[in-house]
Amino acid sequence: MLIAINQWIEHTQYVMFALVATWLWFHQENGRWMLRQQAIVVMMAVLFSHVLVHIQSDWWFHGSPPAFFHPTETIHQGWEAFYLQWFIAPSSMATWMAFSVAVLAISRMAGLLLCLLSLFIAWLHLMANLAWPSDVLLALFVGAVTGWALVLLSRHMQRFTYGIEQLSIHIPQVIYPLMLLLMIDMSNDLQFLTFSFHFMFGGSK
Amino acid sequence: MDTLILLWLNQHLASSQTYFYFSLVATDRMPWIIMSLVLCWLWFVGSPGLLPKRPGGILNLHARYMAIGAIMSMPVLFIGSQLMQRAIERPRPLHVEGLLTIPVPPQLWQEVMASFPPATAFPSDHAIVIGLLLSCVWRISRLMSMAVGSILFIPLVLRIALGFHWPSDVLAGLMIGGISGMMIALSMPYQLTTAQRINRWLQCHPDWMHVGLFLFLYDFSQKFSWLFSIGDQLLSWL
Repeated sequence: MLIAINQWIEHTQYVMFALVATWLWFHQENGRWMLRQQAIVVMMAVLFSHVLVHIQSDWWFHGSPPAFFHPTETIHQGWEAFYLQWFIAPSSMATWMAFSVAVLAISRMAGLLLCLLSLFIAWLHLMANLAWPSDVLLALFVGAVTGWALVLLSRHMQRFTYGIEQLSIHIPQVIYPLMLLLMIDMSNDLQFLTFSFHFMFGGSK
Repeated sequence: MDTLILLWLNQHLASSQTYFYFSLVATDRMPWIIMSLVLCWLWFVGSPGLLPKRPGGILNLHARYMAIGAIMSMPVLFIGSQLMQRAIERPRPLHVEGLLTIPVPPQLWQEVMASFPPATAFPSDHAIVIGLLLSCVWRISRLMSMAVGSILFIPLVLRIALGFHWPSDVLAGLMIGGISGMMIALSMPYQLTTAQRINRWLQCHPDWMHVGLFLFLYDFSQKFSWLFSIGDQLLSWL
């Protein structure tokens, strides 16, 4: 049951993030787009923490894991088929935490609820023996720091937000399909971006 | 003729195991992702209001009308194609024994074969959706339609080469989709007020409307997997 809930969350989490970002981007008050900067921060928080996941798994698969990562799979000898999924699971909590902190800057109530949800997901991982406690704590810490750093940085990136907003006004037929592609790719574990990266710069994965 | 084209394509593809694997991956989700991007383009292209920015330019209202028409007719065509497939009961080429050259391990190919219900070849539902989308885009921008058509032509040919469909299935699917798109385009002068009404509602609730649109496009890019699983669940409850 716990594993099923966890799997469901992992399959749908990026769609949920994208839905929230879409709502923020298109939300209007008195004819003005009020939350576009926050939408960008939310998506960047999710994207950055997701990229951290890949960097972490790249370290692991190249045989030189950082000392603070425990080999999660040793407690699941029979589950080799799900190895990758289980291994990156703690870092999906980083994504949840970064997302929650980014939302916290917009609405305290929603942010706190999402933080509680992140902790619940962390508890699920521990209860289902999917991760070591230190993995979970590290993931939560990395997520919170990523989210908070982006919220702080967002005050200094109004020109960037303005630029994206202007592009979405002048060439929406280009910008929105690109955004959709990014969201679809994120929900598919960034396969297309990873493939493009390795196609351009080489690498084995 | 059908078999000759199929065998010619299959032999060319089967000459390389790498290309065969690539085709298996490329024909699965890639066309749906491209089509959802095209629908997104159709939703946002063109100038707002009732006057284009330049003579002969695209009006966003017209593009949205075509997009709404395509979105609404997709489930109808999907269900229609399923009914036709069950009524005609034409076997897929990959289920005909000894017809195709398969350069992948038999165990893997068995899995591929098992993923297709038998005798559901005619018409190709991929081709129907592609035909519908291309004819809707054609009404708005011929250049874009040709560009997208040339990209989406590849997975259609690969599906024939892999033995998922006979060439005539694909041709019939393209014709059904194309005619449906033409009917949507022809009905535009009479139904434009509907598009205007939806557009007005969109301006009042852009956040929720776009959330719904994103959800649709996301599910569309996943071959309506959520929609079908919800439908199956509802049917099992009933």
